[in-house]
Amino acid sequence: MRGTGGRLPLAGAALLLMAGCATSEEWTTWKQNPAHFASGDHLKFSMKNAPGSSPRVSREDLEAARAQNWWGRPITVRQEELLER
Amino acid sequence: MSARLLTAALALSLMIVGGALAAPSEDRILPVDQYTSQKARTLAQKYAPALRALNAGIYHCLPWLDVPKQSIGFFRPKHLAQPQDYRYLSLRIYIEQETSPQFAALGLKERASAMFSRYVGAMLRRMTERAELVTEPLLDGFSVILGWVKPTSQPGERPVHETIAVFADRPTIADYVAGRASIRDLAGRAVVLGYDGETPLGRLKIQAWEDNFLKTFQIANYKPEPGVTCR
Repeated sequence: MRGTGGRLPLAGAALLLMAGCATSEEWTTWKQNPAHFASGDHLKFSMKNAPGSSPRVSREDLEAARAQNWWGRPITVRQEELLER
Repeated sequence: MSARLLTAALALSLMIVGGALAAPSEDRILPVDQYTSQKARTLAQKYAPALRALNAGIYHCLPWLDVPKQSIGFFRPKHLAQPQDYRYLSLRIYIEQETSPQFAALGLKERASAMFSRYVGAMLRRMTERAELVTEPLLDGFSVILGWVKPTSQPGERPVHETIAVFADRPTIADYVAGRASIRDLAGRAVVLGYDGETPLGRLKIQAWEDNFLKTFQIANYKPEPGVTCR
């Protein structure tokens, strides 16, 4: 019994480590989809609005999200076609 | 003591940086020296505070709208007779919205009518908050240019915008903001040009209706900067 108390935390820690480690297959999948936290700003926004916390979206958060969703300059009518200076 | 000063200086610089990031960029407004006529420069100088207020109001209170660079100003509509220096207070916005099957199912003219109904009247009201603009003899009219992602655009591909450019003379806008003309009347009297990407579609006939979306919609959990009041 005396030894069990010492081994249980070790076994628990090992289980936690195993659960926390991704398999090589999972890492490959993750590397193929690196946009989850595309930047530090996105990470900050995600951490700030973590489940259980009171969410707050600022104008800066929206700017960061807009920049990360940017897929290139859109095909659109040029201003010069409509207006002159 | 010096450590305290350093901390205070760092905190102050962070506050300044934070403040600067939360402010709208003034590059959305065409600089005075970029105009090609004295009439336009006079208008731009006289109404510079009104243009800044328009820019800031959209930035803080309608954050899903993006104003491209140099898209607010007193421009000359290209479709009008050129020897005359007609000057319109113009605003161009890009509307960011979630993809919607209902919206995608509409034809382009119906999408244009929906966007006109939702945004044109509201933008004109913001543009005429300085009431003097409606009676300004140097100003010939107003234009609102709306763009949105074409529903057939795919994520990861270069997006295609649909655009409508709405032009109305000053008396028409005066009637609208004074309540003498409805949004439907405005749509009938304005010139509305449509574009699919870069392809001109010519003049569109718009069926407009009252839409109070902007009075009721809010982005979930969005909080304007302290001190900003949105009406």
